[in-house]
Amino acid sequence: MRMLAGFIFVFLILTVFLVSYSIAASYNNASLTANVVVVPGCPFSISANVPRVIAGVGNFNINYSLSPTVNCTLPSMYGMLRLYNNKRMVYSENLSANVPSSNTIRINTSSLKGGQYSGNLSFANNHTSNFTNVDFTVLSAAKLVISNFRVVGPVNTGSNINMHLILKSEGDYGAGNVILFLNLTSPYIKNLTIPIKNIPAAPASVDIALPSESNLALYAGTYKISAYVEYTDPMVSNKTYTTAPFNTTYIVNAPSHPSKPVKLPAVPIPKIPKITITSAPLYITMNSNSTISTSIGISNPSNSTETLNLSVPGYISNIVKLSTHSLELTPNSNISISVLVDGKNLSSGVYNIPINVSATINNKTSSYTDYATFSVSSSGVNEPVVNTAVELQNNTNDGYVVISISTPSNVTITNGTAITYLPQGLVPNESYMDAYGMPNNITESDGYYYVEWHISKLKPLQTVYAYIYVRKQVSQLLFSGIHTDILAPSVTTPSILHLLYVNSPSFETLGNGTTVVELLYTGAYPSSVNLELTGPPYMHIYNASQSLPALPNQLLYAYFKQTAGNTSGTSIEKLLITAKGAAINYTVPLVINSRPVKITTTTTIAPNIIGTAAEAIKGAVQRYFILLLVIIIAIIITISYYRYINKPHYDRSRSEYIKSMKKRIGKK
Amino acid sequence: MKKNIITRNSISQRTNPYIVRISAQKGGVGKTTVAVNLAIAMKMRGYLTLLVDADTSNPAIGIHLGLDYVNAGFIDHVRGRASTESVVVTHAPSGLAVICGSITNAAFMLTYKEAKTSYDELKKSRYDLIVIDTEPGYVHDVVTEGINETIIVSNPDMPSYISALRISEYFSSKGILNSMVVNRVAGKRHEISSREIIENFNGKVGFLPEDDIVPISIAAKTPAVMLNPKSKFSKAIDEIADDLSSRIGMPLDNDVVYGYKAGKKRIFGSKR
Repeated sequence: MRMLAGFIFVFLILTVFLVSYSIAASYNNASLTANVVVVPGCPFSISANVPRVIAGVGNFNINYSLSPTVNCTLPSMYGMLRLYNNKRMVYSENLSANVPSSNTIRINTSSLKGGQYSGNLSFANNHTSNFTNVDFTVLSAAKLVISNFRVVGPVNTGSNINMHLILKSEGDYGAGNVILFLNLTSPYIKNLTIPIKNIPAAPASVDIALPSESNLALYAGTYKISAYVEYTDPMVSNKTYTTAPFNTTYIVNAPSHPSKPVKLPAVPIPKIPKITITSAPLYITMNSNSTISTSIGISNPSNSTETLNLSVPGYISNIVKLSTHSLELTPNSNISISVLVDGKNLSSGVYNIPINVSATINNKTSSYTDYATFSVSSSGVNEPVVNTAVELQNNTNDGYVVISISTPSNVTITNGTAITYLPQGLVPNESYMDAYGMPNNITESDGYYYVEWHISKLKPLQTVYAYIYVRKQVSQLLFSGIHTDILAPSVTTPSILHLLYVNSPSFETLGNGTTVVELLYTGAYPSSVNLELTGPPYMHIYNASQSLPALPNQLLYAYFKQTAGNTSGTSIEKLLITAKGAAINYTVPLVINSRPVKITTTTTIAPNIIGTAAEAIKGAVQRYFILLLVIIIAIIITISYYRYINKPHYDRSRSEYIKSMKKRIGKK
Repeated sequence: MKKNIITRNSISQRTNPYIVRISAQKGGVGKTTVAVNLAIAMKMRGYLTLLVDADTSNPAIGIHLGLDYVNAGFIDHVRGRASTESVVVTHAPSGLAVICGSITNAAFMLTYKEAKTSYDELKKSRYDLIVIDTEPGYVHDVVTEGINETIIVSNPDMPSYISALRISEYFSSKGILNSMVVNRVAGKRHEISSREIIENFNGKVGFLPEDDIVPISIAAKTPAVMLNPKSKFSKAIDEIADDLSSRIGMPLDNDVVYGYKAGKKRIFGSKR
């Protein structure tokens, strides 16, 4: 009975102590030296540390820590790491860890291709769960692609061959030990090996003028030549990469004509009564995805005012746009009508574009059609664009060559060189040409005039113009052989804006949500970054245009609060991010779900039975863990106490009694 | 636990057997239990051991060892009806030599002459060690003449302990080395504490714990040290046997407490 009373007393004392301790621990996260208890619902946080940028070779670590937010522990939490690339799960790994603990996940990058990754690291048990996001960029290995390889023509028998190679770098590492292999397969076999300098990392695009090669035009005919490049990645030793071969052909002409000009018949500019066409576009060489402007010059030498109507056929009205379609041309006046050609919708090829001109004077109308030849070609995204327009002037005697050189948003040309090739038969000698617009030098060699332009500096999205006025052209057709190459490597400027993360929630019709944008600014100087989110009319974006001040290497966050309309479905929003010298366009898909209709009905819902009997027992044990702990400790203390008080104790009086008895025993 | 290795060479230097008398002034304290298990433990250590049941009033060694079928025993030897060798039987499981008591002679009283004759013959025997289990109470002076030491068995209660002190006083007066084994130590509050026992006894004190293996071994007619060598009781007997082994031919160290350290082995509390 006494033991039972003692047990109850100890049990109550322990219960009060442990409950008080738990409450105190939950309110005060101070350092405690008391026993840490296992709490089934132990709340915890996850912190993960992963490098922002990861080399594309070898392994990398994701270090993470599980920390309780109160003083508690959790054994063997089950977790999972999922990595996504372009919203597709590309990697997952099951994990197990205790709370608290610090752990490392080792990942081999060979399983991850280059690009931006977002990830989710989560841990949970039956009672609690938490997760954290990880974001990083895996740099891809060096990769080169031959985007263009061509022979500069025309080529005459026995002459040296000039070739151009455009190498595009698609990897995040530059390529080293680059070697070009040329295989001439027809009409005879010849192999060449040409070492090339190292190529910088993507998005660099390098236009290389190869040294002149002899013995590649021994006979007249069509030649087939193949080129491929071998290179190495500085991060991967003992491995050589090879590009796909790029096949091309070139024609070697028989030496039928010397470099001496030959007079060829010219296409005359049609004559309209009382009207003089002073200039007309003849050949235009342009790049797709670019625009070029040329003009038609008209003068009225008569004493009467003429009514002019100009038009282009309807099917090309979206491509060729005239500055005016109708005008009154007073006597002795001149006018230049701009012709703008938008190559955005033009695929590569050659087009003959008709421009109709009609003149009406004294109710008498005369018409003619000018055909301009457009040669459209495509170029790489990160390559400078060169367009050339040739206008006939002065009643076909002269030609006016306009060369425009434009850089895309991420390309800068510094101390570059562009060379315009003009067939030598075009004019008798160099004195018939005037080149201006940029510093230049004209030389003559191998059947060409070379106009070498010096480009001191060409910033991104900048255009420069160069002009060549050709007097007394000998052969109008040779105007079509004019082309310009940029020999200096174009240096790709890395973007200073890096869009890291865009998260747009799923909306309900008439519901609210916030799109979160995370980006990194890596410019050298403080700047302002502008963000503009545009969407369909039924999406109301409260702060659609934002401007954020940014310091170098600063992470920026923008929040676009939005309210959806009544339209459900998938919509597209456009996000434009701009800073000085950089711009990013991003498409944000938006899912708008229909708001569920509230229906008041009485429904019998089947009980949702979760888990197994074993899990239920485990949960019950965890719930009553403190109680069990108190009971066990109380039992131990009670038993210990009663064993202590029941053991033999030294009794001084009894010892004295024994001594007295011993004395009596010793008496004789 | 480190055991002393006793070699036959060390024993052979002794010309007469080493005689240990298990004594108690009070009956029922466990003399026979101690005698039987100690003799077995010494036999297992290599000693050529003879266990003699000299308790003429209540002989029980035969019952402990399953030798209760033996008719010729100690009284036959005392009265000269049989030689020492003829009354010795061997406990087969252990190889222990045993002279059992004579159960049929209930009212036998040993005369001085009988005792002297018998003990003199035992002293001449070829054994290394003779363990004599005796009857409670005083003994003839003659039996103290040839023994090397006596182990007094007591219980941790006042009557047993006082009587043990009395018989200890007697043996001390005869100049016989005596030590004490306190049997059936249960660690209860009413027991005399080990400190009190040690303080008031001039000699070594050992403690044997209360252990269920003892009544079980008696029922099984197999000594506890054989039935369960790892029991608390058997381990304590082993320590006493080790101490006795070291003492044969060696000086006695009065400061060493041997046997089962009841006070130290408890989970709670300290030795008092």
